[in-house]
Amino acid sequence: MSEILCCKDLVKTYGKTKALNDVNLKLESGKIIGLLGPNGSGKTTLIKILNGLLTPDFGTVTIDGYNVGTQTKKVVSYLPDNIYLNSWMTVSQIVDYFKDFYADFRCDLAYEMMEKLGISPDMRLKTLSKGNKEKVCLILVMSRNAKLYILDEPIAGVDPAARDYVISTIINNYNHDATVLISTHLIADIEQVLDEVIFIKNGNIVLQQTVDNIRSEHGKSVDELFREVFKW
Amino acid sequence: MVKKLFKYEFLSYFKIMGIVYIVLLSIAAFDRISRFFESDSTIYSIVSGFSVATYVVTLFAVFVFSFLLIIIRFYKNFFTGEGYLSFTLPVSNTQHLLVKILTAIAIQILTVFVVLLSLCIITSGDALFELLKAGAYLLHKFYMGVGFNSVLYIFEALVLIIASVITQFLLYYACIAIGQLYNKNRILAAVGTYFVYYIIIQIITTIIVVFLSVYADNLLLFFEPVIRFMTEHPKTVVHIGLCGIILWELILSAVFFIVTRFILNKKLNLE
Repeated sequence: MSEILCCKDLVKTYGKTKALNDVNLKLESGKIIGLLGPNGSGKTTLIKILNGLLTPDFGTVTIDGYNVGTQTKKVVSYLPDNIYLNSWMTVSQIVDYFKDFYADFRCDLAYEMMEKLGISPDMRLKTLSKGNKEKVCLILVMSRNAKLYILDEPIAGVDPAARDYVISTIINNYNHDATVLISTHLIADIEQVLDEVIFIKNGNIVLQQTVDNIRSEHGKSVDELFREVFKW
Repeated sequence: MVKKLFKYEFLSYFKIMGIVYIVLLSIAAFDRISRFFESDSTIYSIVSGFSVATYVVTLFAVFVFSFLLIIIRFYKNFFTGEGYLSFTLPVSNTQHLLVKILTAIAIQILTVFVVLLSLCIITSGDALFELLKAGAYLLHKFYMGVGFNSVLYIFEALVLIIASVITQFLLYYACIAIGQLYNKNRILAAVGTYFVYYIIIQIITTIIVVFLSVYADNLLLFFEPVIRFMTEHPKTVVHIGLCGIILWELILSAVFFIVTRFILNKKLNLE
C-alpha cells in the first residue's frame, strides 16, 4: 500500500498552549482510520494543518508526495466540523461550484443522494434545516473521487438515526483506493467501520494501531481501550 | 481556476447589486415618464417631488451598498464559515486576493456606469443634450489651453482614481486580515487597526508639514533648481505630480496586498 500522508515533527502552539507536540504520523492508502481523542486533544488543529487552514510552527506535512498547497487540495476532500456552504446559493449552484473547482467531483452521485433525502436542487441552502445542511455538506464531500477524505466530527451533534445515515454515506460512497480519516470522540458508533485508529492526547500521538491488533493484543474493543487510555 | 473564481464572485455580487441597479434605473425611468404628464396640478408636484427625492436617496444608497458589499463579501468569504470552503479550493491565496480586488474594482466601475446611465435617463431630451454640449465645450476649452497634454491629464486622472480605489479597498482588506489575528472581537480589532493606521498617517503628515514650514527658507534655497524647473515647465510638472501620486498609491497597494497575503498564507486561523 502506498503512503498518502506523512507528518514529520509537527508542532503548533496557541500562546502558551501546545496544541500539537512533535507529531509524527504516516497513513497508508485504502484504509478507514479513526483519529480519536477527547475534546481539546489537538484533532481539529491537526486536521486544519492538513488542509492548509493553519500553518504549523514547526515540521512538515506531505500529502500524496506534495507539501500542503494547491496540489494537495485537489486530492483531499474535507468536511469541517461546522457548516461552511455559501448560504446565498441554491443546492444546484453549490453542486456546480464543486463540479467547477474539483475535477474529481461526481455530479450524478451528489444529485442521486440529494434526491433520496428529498432535497430539491432549486432549494436555497439558507432555507434548509441544520440537519439537512450538514447532510448536504457530507454528500458534497463524499461525492468527490478523492485520494484522502478528512472528516472532522461528522457524527457529533446529530441524532442516532442521522449517525447511521452519515456512516452509511461514508462507507457506500468513498473511493476504495483512498484513505478516510475520521475524527471523533464517539467511538462506539464508528468502531465497526474502522481499519485503524490513532489516539491523540494533549497534542501527542499516543497510539496508532489496526483495530484487529487492538482486539488481539489488548483483548479489548477500541471503545474500551479509549476509555482506559483517556481515563480522568 | 481564476475564471471560475471570477464567475462565482460576480454571481454573488449580482444577486444583490443587480436588484439595486434595477431599482435605481426604474426610479429614473419613472421620473422621466412622469415628466410627460407635466402640469401645474398638486398631484403632479407631489409625485414629481417624491420621485426626485427617491432617486437622490437611491443614488446615495447605491454607492453605500456597493462599498459595504465589497467589504462584507471579503470578510464573509474568507473569515467566517465560508472560509473553510474558500481556502480548501485548489486555488492559491494570491489568486483569491487578486480576484477579490479586481472584482471589487469592476463592481465600482459598473456602479458608476449604472449611475451615469440613470442620469442619462432622468435628464434625457434637451437637458441631456445641453449637458453633453457643456461637457464638450469644457473639454474643447481644456484642449485649447494645454493641447495634447489635456488627453494625458484626463488619462492620468482616471488611472489615479482607479489606483486610489484599489489602495483604499486593499487597506480595508489588510485591516480585516490583521483583525483576524486576535482571538476575540475580530471586527472591532479590524476597525481599530484602520483607525491606528489613519492616526499614524496623520502624525506623519503633520511632522512633514511642520518640517517644511520650519525649514522653508533653507529648503527653497536647496531646491532652487527644482523650483526654477517647475516655473519653466508647469505642464510637465503636473504630469510628474500625477504620475508620482499614482506610483505612491501603487506602492501602498503592494504593501497592503503583501500584508494581507502573508496573513492568509501564514497566520490564517478560522474560528
